[in-house]
Amino acid sequence: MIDIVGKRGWYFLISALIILPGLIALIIPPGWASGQSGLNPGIDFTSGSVLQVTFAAEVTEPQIMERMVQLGHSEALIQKTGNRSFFIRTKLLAEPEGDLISEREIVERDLEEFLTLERDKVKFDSVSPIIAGETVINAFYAVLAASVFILLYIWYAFRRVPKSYRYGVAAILALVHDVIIVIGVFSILGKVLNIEVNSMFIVGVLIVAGYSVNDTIVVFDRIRENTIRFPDRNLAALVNTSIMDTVGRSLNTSFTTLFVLLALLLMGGPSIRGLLLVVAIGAVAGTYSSIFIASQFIVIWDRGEFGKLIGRGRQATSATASLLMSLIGR
Amino acid sequence: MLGNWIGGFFGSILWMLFPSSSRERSIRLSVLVVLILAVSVASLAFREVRINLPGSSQFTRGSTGPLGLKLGLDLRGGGHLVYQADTATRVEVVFGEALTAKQIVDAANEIQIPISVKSKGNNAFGITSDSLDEPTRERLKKGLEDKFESLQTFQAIETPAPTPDQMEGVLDIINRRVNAFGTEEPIIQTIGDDRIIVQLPGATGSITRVIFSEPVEREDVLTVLVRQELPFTSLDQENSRAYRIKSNTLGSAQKSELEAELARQLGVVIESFQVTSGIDEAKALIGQTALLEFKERTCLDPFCVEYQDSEIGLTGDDLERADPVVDSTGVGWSISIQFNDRGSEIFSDLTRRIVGVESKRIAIILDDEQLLAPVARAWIRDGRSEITGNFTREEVRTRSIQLDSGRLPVPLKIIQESDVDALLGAESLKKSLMAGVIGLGLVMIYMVAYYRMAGLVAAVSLVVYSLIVLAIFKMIPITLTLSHIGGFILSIGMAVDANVLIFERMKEEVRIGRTLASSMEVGFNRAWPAIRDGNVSTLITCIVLIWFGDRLGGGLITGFAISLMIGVLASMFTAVVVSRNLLQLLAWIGLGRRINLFTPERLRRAGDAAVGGS
Repeated sequence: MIDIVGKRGWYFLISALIILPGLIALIIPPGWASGQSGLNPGIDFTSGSVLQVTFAAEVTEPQIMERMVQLGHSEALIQKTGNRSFFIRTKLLAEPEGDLISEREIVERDLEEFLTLERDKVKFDSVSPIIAGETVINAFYAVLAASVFILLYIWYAFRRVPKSYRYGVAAILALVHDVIIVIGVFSILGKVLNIEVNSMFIVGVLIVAGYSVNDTIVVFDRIRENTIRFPDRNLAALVNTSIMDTVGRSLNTSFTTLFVLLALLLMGGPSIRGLLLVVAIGAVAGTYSSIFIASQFIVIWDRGEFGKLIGRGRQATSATASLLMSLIGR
Repeated sequence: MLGNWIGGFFGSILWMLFPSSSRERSIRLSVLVVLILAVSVASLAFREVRINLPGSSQFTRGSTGPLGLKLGLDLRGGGHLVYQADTATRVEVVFGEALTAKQIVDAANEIQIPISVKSKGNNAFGITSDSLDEPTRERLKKGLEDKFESLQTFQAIETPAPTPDQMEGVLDIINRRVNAFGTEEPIIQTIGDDRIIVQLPGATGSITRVIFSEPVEREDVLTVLVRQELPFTSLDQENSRAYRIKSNTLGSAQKSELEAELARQLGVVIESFQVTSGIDEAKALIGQTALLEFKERTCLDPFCVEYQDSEIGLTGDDLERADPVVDSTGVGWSISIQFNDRGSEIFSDLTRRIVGVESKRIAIILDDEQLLAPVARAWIRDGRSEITGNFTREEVRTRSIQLDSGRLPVPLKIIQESDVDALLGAESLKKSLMAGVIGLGLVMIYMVAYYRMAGLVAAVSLVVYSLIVLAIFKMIPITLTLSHIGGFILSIGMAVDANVLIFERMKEEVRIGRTLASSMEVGFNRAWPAIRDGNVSTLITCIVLIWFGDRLGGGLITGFAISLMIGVLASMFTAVVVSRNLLQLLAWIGLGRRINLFTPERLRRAGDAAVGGS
């Protein structure tokens, strides 16, 4: 049998290597260090308007930008989302007032006249600053609340296993691990590729949280069963056996999830694409963390080997630092 | 009769759930599955489902979407608006020198008070900001004085947070305005203390108003529209010469073509041709402050069917309050109203003139719609009066709220908007249906390829699963949006997971030499705790999401969580009942001896090795 548990320290090193660049991207300004989110926020979090438009003829981003500047929207961000379709993000467009038509109407008419905008295929979203501020903090509370309830549930569900709260804590650790990976990756993507996060991103993070726990529970369920069946064996061996027992299922479920994500990709809609990426990253991270983080953490806790983790943590920090240095040096 | 039938139905469910032997239980559960499947298919097969319940009202489900499902705005097109009561501070300022709005904004920025400023001419400006408390208002005043010594007037008006009754009043007004606008199936509801969601299906698009120089038959206009292949949804005749056409958003080419063709084909001159955006018009209509008017009514017949109203200059501004009260008899309900000084004077004058006059009434009109038209019974000098009638308590309450909302306009502002054009909605619908089918298909192929016969069972139970979920969506009914479909497709993944767990366990049991039938039983029992715990934790996440939904960008997240929750519940049922019974049926009809149909070749060999090694 493959000895997975024996190399447990290394998994945390690998995770740290993945998490650290993301964390750094989150922290360096404009990030947590300067009181920002570290992510590239879409209108859902900052307020503004987004027009999702399609043109009848071939149109380029600079062409659209030129029109927007003419209309006094030099702040506009244009993003190509598909063949002849674009996102146009602006600050909050003014509502109609009295005899004045809305700013949205002005923009649409102009783009129709000059760039063949298809007026009957427009999606328009706008969010005011009031809504925007609330969303993030509420999402945080939602994840927190879900974590607490899940922890309590696992504690209860594993009550026949000694120290069952440890399973709850380990599951939440894996959850936090997966969520941080996703957020970190998006922080980097936001800085490198300008990918924005919207409400769908929050939906995605919550799915990842659910998926992560679901995955962890399957492995834990095996550990629970084996612990009860073979009370005399040591935990490390039990965990190793349990992981080997469930690896087939873990892979199959990951595959089917990825199939489903593929189908959702066909469903298209630029607004849902970010969500897909979140879930895809989360599914991989979730499968990894259930085997290599949550289960190993149980063993580490059982043996009181936290010092080993810190040692690996140091290694990871210096490895990341040198990686970053070499990137900057280049 | 029906009672017996219902009794029999529940009886048979009980009989199915509490069996005596495993084979018997299996048969009974299979009957249950077939029943549920039949109900699901039947409810989806008919666009409209109608059940007459004895004694109570009719149960009707079904809508315009595919399979009679109800579609949300992003799949059928429409406007979604979230309004919030505007608790702003408004300040009127007048200076003795010429200033620009920007200078004032900058001055306020210096003392860190964000404001917006509108010029009103003659050095007068209107300042708007988030609600400011007394010291902040003083600070603003002082800041402006220090900066511009010529500050002459500084008058602040606070709009306080609305009371629940006021919100109800606003909701009522929006309801009536939206109905006047003529959207089908609008949704108007409050969320939280001070927000109102307005969903207007089909409101995106253009509204074209045409006035012809001479009367034109509706039929003729209709013919032109049809001949032009204009994607219109309604044609309303406002009078013999004026028409209102609701259609998909018109491009400028379509507009001019329509105008030209109407004139040409009908052979008339068009006096006025105006195209506005439907959503802008709806917003303008909703956003107005309510107009409550009191008018003097002169009846032209004994029953006051025909009448003439004349303005007396009495409006909601003059009304101080309106409350529901118990009337003087102590049994019925009446509405007590009180005017301010100006109102009392006008009201006194009115009642003096019309008291005892048979043909006179006081018409109370809100947004051009009559609320009440009482007769004056006395000359009321102090502006305090009671409107009596055969009112119920509820009527009195509603009318008071309506009067109050007309008196106290709660200003609203749009804080979130999402509009989808109908064509785009139809496209999204097509794509997401395709995504569902493809996702399901890919998963099925994978399952069959990997687990053979068992995979086939999983595939069948996935189809059953989808049918059940869709039927639940239709019966509740749930208005499907893209995020619902996203949640549904994701829950397919979860449904598969349960099957995978069972099959993997089954395979293990086969490996240690059990017969197929007993492997199924044991494998299933072993897999169950993992399925249960995994699904329960997903359900916990769903519940938290629904709980926070309103505060997390509204419908988007709630929709997702609701469909995921329904999906998880249904997937537990299909994995536990459908897959299991199908497997058992297969085992009995003799396929059980052919184990290689159930596990892949390569794994069977691995299994043999494992048996040999142990």
